[in-house]
Amino acid sequence: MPDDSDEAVRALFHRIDDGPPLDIDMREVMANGRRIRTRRTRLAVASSAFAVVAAAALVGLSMGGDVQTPDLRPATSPPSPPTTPPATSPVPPVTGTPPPVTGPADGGGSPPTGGPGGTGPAPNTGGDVPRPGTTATSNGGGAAG
Amino acid sequence: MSKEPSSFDGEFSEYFAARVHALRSTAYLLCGDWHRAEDITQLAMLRLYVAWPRLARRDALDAYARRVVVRTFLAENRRSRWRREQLTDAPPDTVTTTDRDGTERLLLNRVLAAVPPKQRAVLVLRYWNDLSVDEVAGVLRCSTGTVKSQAARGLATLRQRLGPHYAELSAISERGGDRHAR
Repeated sequence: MPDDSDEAVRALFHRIDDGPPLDIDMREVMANGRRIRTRRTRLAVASSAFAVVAAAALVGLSMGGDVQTPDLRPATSPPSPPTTPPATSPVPPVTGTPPPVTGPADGGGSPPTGGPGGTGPAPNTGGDVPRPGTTATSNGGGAAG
Repeated sequence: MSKEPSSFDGEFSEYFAARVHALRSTAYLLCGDWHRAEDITQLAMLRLYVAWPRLARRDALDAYARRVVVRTFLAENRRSRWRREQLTDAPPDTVTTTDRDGTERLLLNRVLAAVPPKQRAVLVLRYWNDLSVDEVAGVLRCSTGTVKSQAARGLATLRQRLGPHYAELSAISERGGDRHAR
């Protein structure tokens, strides 16, 4: 659009009059503005306080929730491989009573080693393991003669 | 608490006294009604007072106030479409030329009312407030291309509505401008 036309429109717009007297009260505008700013300030303070309380309540709930949940179980670990005990040789027990010694010079009948009654077998003292040079049971040489 | 004066009340009073008439004229050109223009201007001043502490750049006060006026006008037009004047294709009535000033103003108001609000806002900012295309785009938050297209369409509507009166009014306005300049 040419500049002459722009100037014509501009001059046309500037032909408006001043209009009626101004009916805007500046003090009323300022009072309303102060009221709005006060209300916004109070709203901001209240919102901030509410946010703090809500955050504290959430933290409290999350902390207390752990104590009041007994059903929670730890995750099951994968089954461990079966363990085999190490192979150990049996250790012979040590007994307090030495085994009876039978000598060849003993011609007479010796009392039985089983006990005072001599009626039953000798009690097992755990000496089942034979030792070299010894016999677990007496031959009863005197009885044989 | 709200009755205590603020620290910037003095600055705001000075600005109010200096700029309220220009803002009301801008609002009047936008809406075509002095009472509605006062409402828009009062709302703009109220928002300016509330935002005053945040406005660090004091040279941007005019731009902020103008932006509030234009946006308030456009928002009111969007909200209350029933209050908008109905656009018709019929040319304006032939005006008598007995009272030239009054006739010109009446004709200008009627023609401006026929221009859509967005185009009217562009025309007012461009030719009444003497803003550049970039500044108008900043006020309306649109591109410069949109401002140019809206201005062209608005001027075309003005010319079409004014018809044969356009050249006459322009000549009268130029003569009046020269008279006022002297």
